[in-house]
Amino acid sequence: MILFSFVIDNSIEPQSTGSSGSLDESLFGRIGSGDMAAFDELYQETERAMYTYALTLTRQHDEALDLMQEAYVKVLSAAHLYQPMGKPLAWMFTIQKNLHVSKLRKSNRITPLDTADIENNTRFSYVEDPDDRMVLEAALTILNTEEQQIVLLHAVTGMKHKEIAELMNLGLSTTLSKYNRALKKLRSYLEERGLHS
Amino acid sequence: MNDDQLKRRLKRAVDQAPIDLLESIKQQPYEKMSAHDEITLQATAGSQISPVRSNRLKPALALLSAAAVFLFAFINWQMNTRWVDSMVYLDVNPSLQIETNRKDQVIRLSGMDEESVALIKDLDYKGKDLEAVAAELLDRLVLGDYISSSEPAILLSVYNEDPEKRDRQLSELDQAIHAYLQSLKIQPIVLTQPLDPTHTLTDYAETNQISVSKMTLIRNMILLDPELKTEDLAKLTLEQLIKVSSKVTLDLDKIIQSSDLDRIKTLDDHDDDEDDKDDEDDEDYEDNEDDGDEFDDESNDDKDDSDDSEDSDEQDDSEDLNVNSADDSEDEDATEDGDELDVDDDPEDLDDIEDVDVEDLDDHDDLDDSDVSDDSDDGEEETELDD
Repeated sequence: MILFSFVIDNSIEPQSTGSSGSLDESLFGRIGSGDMAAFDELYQETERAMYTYALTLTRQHDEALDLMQEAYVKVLSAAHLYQPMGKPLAWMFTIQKNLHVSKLRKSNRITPLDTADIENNTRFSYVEDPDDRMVLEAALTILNTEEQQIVLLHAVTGMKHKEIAELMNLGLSTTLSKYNRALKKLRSYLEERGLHS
Repeated sequence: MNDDQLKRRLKRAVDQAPIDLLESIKQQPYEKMSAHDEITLQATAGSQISPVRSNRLKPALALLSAAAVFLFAFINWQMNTRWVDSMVYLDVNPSLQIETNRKDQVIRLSGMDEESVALIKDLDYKGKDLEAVAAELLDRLVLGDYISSSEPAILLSVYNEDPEKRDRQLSELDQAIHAYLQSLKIQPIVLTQPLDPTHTLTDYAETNQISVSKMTLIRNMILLDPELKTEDLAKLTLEQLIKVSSKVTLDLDKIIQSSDLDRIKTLDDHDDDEDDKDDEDDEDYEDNEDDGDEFDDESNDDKDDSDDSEDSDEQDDSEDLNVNSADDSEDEDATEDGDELDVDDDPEDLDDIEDVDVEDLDDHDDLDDSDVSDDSDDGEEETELDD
């Protein structure tokens, strides 16, 4: 059963790493039975979306990778318990979010990173184009978590606004409104810093 | 820079992130979970996964918090002002019950019978300090002639879950009563006792139509002397109870606290003298017994009254008058109930009375008669209270 699909916005970018196609919920049953090929398939299908979501939570590349890894291990441990409810990716995002919150509680870190921490870091040095890196850092700096998720999930994984709205339990109009406002804010911020098309 | 350009740049930046965790994940040891934990718990339909969830819940949580604070404040206010913290009983014949809140302000005042209800009628007591209300009540008791003798007995009982507060209230009220009555040239004998009312005790009090405090005193007396009977003692006034306790050599100080215990003994000695002087009454009592006459006869009361009037001792007179007045009322009740005494039919019962009641109650034949009647009716039934 196809319960969640990643649809590429063709007007933007036809190819999207690991997020095209659909995610088959039956993969969890197979993984629960010890089918590691099914896990490989799940990983390939969700890697980029999971990383994007982890990045919006942690705002740091390394921490996002750690979070991803922990989340996938949890999926392996609980795959046999998964009850098909139509949103397999939502469950995986939930695992990431819960792990992240748990980690914050343990470290008593109740506030996200300061803007200065993000602006001054070199965590995204792997991004070759300085302008691209600046845009990513700006998105993680000035947008709130909800805006980051709406913008990045749409831009990176190609998820439709409707799917993001369902995933986040927001109305479609709310999601679109937040999306447009976030882009406007981001564009304004970048233009102030001399980044033009 | 348009939106598409922004999105392309974002996608390019994220896509360049080196991830490649697959092999590393597969090498991680993991155990199959027997059930979902708080991390993997699947969201139910309609729930969401983003932190927005908590943001959207914030107004509701704030509202709930405000409601909880309001509720807490309201309950606290209720507990301080409206909830009963202490129950104070003032037994002077009649019996009065005062309920106070944590601030020792009176929130309820009630009487056990019509007399006491009439006594507290129109008394503005709500929210007033306990001692002020107690003083007002004493005032009314004096004006109503309920406290008429120079040495009235007052039973003061307090119930409070906190023993320290209970003892403090007992002590403060005891002092306040003494001070107030002494200002009126009255030397009260105040007996104080802590209360711990139980269902059994309350039931017995209701059955015998007396206050829980008086019932507690009677229960404690019976515990000290199991020969005593609830039915007999319940009919007696507080002063008569004190006399009974002295006559049967109960150690009152085991069950009550009073700074006036010495005066109780003096009072008893005085009563003994009175007994000697009233031997004539005893003879009359014996005569009546021998003749098998009815004790509950108004002519007998009149006779007693006339005997008393011949007594030259004024104090004896006053006490006799008081007791006989009470006896008269009991006589009337007995007469109305058609409760003709069958004392003479049962000499054993009479012996009992002579042992305990007749002598103890200072030859007040009519009162003894009613006790005898109860003994006769109840047979050998022993009524002992236990918690």
